Amino acid sequence: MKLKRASIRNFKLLRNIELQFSTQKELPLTVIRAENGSGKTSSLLALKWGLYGRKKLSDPSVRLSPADWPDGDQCAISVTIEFIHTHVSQESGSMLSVEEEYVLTREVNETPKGDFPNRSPEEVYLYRKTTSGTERIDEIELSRMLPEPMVDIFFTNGDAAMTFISPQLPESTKQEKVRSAIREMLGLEKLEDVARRLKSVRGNVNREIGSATSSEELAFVTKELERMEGRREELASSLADLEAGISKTEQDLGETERRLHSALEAGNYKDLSLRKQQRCRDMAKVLQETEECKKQQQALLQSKTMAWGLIGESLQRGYNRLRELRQKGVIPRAAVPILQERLEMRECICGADLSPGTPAHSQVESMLAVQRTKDQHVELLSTLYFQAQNEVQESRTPEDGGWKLESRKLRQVRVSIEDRKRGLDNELKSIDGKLSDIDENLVQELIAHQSMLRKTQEKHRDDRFRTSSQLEGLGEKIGQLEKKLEALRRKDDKVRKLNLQMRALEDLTGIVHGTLGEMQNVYLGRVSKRMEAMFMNVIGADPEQGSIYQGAKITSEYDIVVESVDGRTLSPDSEVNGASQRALTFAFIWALTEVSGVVAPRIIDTPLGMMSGGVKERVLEMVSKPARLDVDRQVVLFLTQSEIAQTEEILDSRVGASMTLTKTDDFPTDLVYDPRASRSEVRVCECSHRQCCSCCQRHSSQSFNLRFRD
Amino acid sequence: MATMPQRQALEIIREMARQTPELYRGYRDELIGTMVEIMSLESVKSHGFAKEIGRKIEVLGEKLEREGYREE
Repeated sequence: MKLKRASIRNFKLLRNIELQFSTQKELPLTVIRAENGSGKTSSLLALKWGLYGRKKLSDPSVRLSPADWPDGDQCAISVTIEFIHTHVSQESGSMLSVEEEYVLTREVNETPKGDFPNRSPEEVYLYRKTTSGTERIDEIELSRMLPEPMVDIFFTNGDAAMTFISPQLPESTKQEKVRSAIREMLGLEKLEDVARRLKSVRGNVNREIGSATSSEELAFVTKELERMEGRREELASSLADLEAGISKTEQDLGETERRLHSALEAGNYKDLSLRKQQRCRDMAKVLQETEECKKQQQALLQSKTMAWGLIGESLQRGYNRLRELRQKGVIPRAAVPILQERLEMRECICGADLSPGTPAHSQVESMLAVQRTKDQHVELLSTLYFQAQNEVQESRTPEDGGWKLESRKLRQVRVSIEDRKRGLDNELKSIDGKLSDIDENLVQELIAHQSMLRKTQEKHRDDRFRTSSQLEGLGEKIGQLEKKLEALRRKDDKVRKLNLQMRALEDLTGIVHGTLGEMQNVYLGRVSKRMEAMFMNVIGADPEQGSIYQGAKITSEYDIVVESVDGRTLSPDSEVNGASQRALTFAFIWALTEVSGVVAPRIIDTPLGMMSGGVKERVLEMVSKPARLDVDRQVVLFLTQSEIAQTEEILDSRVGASMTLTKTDDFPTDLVYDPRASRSEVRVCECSHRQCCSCCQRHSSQSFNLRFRD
Repeated sequence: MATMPQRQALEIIREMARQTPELYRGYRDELIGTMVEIMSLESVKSHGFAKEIGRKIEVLGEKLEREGYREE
């Protein structure tokens, strides 16, 4: 299919525009220049809607009418596309290409109402141009010319040009998109339809054979075989579902484990809590030891041993002095008691009369008074002497001073306890810090999810093993039954004709399956190789020069992977830069369409965003270069002026048609001339990538050296 | 078969048919012709197309009988 012209009415700001496309083989490129917000995406959507309808828009409920269309007023929206389609037919043993022109119109009435417009059912009109006028045909023909699974191949938004390698999509979805695109482009689904049809016919013939014969055994075996084949299909389907389930679960498990690991980097909450408890107990013990040590030190300070050790010398000197007095007889003084005793006895030791009133009595009393005064001091000294005598005998310590050793020992113990206490303090602070970093709820949630996924994975694997075994066993039984059936059929002459039909069916089935296998294996390999060649060329990677990118391929599981050094593969969605991701997607799409030879327009919005320099030029070369002479191509690129910059010469030699879209709202901010528009809309002019005019000239046009066109 | 890589598919069908035994003169061509017709019918899916396909298989079987082919 090739687009010729498109007329768009009231589709967003495209109120009344006409787009012309290049259909020249040598100049396959149409460039529609438009700055941001000037209708590029709306134009692409309009074409998509025109060809496929609302169901193929990313948001089917999106409003289509202009944003300023009054609420409650009906808006007639339409897109008319004129296109050429080529199909091949076989006549008289040779294949002929036939080109026909068509006109497709899609219309809808929309009445805006807040955010949810009311919309009438879409009306589609498809006409084929004939020599005598036009002929209306069934719109179902359109789905054959441009099947819906290929919409992502033919319509690409450059900013989201990673449909086949997008990180947002699960692995199985990406694989299915690639698989579906390849199968659709190569027409594999059609062939599979034929294979299924032949199988159904075969089933009918088998049943006829079973009922045409009188052989009960033949009828039974036929029925049994049918039943088993049905069961085999069910098991195969279950197995495929289980594989998909296992793949998805593995992916989810990996993601959960990654998140859990990240959450646990701060530490395990339970372990840290236990450690904290242990350290608190250790701290209590240390504090207790501190008290014990203090008590021991206090006891030591209060001990006589230490006291004697500290002041023993002085005490000894005092005691020695008292001893001298004792030796001299100064202490203890016994005069007073003796004198008193004699007074009481009224007789002196010498025999003198000491009765009261006698001169001797008075003398002795005076002596007694004097002695009593002196004796107070002597008494004190005597008391001290006797006390000191006991203490010295009790407390005398060896010369080596054992209390010093004990004091030193206690001091060391105290220092050690203080060190331990400091260590425990620091550790407790560290643990508290880590505990505050852990989101325990998230960790528990992830652990629970991980456990659930592991159980699911286990179950899936068990089921897969069981289903595989059943399938294998069933395959063997079917093989045996088929042999038996063949033998029974041959014996029965009544079913000979049906057997001949069966022979023809088997040959046809063999051809279909062989064709499917060939197209799948060979063409998948061809698409993969072509994609690799284009990709490596665009990004300028040379494996022999040690480039990190060594190649790219599509695996038999329909994964698109990039190969790196040492046989490693890189994930395109996370290990390849943005420009290379786009280049890879474009390479895949281009390789697929080139290998398949399908002629269909490739429409890309902003393909060169995120690219610069050599990559930009090479991507443009790749998408715009005329293919082989026998492979036709049509490419429509929506480009901003910035994307066009530095690629003008390439475009000069490839562009067959060009135009510029301009939004009237951009005056006066960006546009030089007043568009004199009564409402906001997008206008089209015929300016190429090197021109500007009063419709599209912008203040920035000069910096791009655009030539003014009157 | 509007959007299939028709040339490639038909070429491979021809190649596969060449590997099929020629049960009588022209059998392979008959197979190719029937295959293309079945593919067209399958694409269009018009009313009664399934029966039409069944009829084409019958025709092949009748031809095999007329040409004297016998299963061993």
